[in-house]
Amino acid sequence: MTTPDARDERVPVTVLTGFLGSGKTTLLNRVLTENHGMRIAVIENEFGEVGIDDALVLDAEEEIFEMNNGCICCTVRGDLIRILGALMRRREQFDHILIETTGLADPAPVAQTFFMDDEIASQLRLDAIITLVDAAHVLQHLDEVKPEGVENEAVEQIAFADRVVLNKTDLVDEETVAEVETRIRAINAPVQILRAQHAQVDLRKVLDVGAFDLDRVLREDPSFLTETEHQHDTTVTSVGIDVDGELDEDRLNAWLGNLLRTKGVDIFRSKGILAIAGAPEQYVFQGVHMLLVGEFGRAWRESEPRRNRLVFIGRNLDRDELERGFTGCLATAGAAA
Amino acid sequence: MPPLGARPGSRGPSPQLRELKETVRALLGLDDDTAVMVRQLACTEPGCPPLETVVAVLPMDGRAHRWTLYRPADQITEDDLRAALLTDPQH
Repeated sequence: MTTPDARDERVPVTVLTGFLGSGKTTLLNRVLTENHGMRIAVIENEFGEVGIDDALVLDAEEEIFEMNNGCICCTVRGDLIRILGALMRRREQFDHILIETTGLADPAPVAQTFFMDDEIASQLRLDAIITLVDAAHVLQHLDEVKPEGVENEAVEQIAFADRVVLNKTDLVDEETVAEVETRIRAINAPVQILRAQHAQVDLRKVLDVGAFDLDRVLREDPSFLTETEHQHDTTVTSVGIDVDGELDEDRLNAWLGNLLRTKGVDIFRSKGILAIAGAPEQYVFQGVHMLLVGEFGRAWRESEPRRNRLVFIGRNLDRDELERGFTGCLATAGAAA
Repeated sequence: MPPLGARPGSRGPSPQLRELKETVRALLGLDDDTAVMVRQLACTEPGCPPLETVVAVLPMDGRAHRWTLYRPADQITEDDLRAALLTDPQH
């Protein structure tokens, strides 16, 4: 398997989420036992029942740590920070890290752990959030009415996913599979859905896939960021923006900063490739709630149109407001918005 | 350029944050197994300064602690850290 960037020596990290019964453990056991040629360190909530002689398996007990009182955007997983620090001192023993979360875990603190600390971000790269979905039961989980203020974990796990493994498709008819896929896309339009039975999915499609490497994702699927034509009656959905032109750096900074500060609680994920006026390289960013990591990527090619593609996945997103705010950052848009 | 402390074009940890972490380690006499995080955050609370810096200490065994300094990370001195770490941590 290739790495997303030959110069990127950071350890790829896969986060595995999914409800109890979705097939997470089955997939994890395959990762631990199959001869895939990768040395994987697994951080899980409890030891599986399979032989794990050759694998580095660490037990973790979920510990939510708030960096700032009451701000869900600033929560991280304290257990992971400790374990990842210890793991990195044994760096020569593995090539990849896989983190299994509990069925009811909120993916945000796990993902935010990789955005909160610059030392962790410099050593580890979040490769992909993979969510296992049980085709036979997911609709009832998605439709479950939660008390006021309580999140629907099934919705969140799908919203955060880079890839969904739609498992147990053998237990339902094609019509149901199609309906489940439609519901998944209503929440997370650009997500890649992999159908599976008994969690039999090509491991090359879930491990070291570079789902957080937007350039690579766009090479494989150019419409990735803008496949948001579906409109559904759901509070968690995605908005894609695709606009030609170059952006005024200061205006973009002010708009994006303000957007994440004021709406970050509702914006689960954000990602984009942007053209900054005066910059020869693409500006690539990834965000989880309020935390955002961005850097300049490859250079724009001579014949390539300067274009901006970005997507927001979250709750109660206002497409018109987002589009208006973003186009106001274009260098040609005139005075500051 | 980007908001909230991200730095384009740089994958290495910030030398300044690294220095603050090392100072925290030295002041508290921490071992290598104890994780230390220093992060500048945008504060959205009313009446709160726009940027604060959080120092978190997570020992391998035992309770995690944090201290909040109500100013940007690049304005924090060793004396500021020393004074903050003498106060009771938040949990």
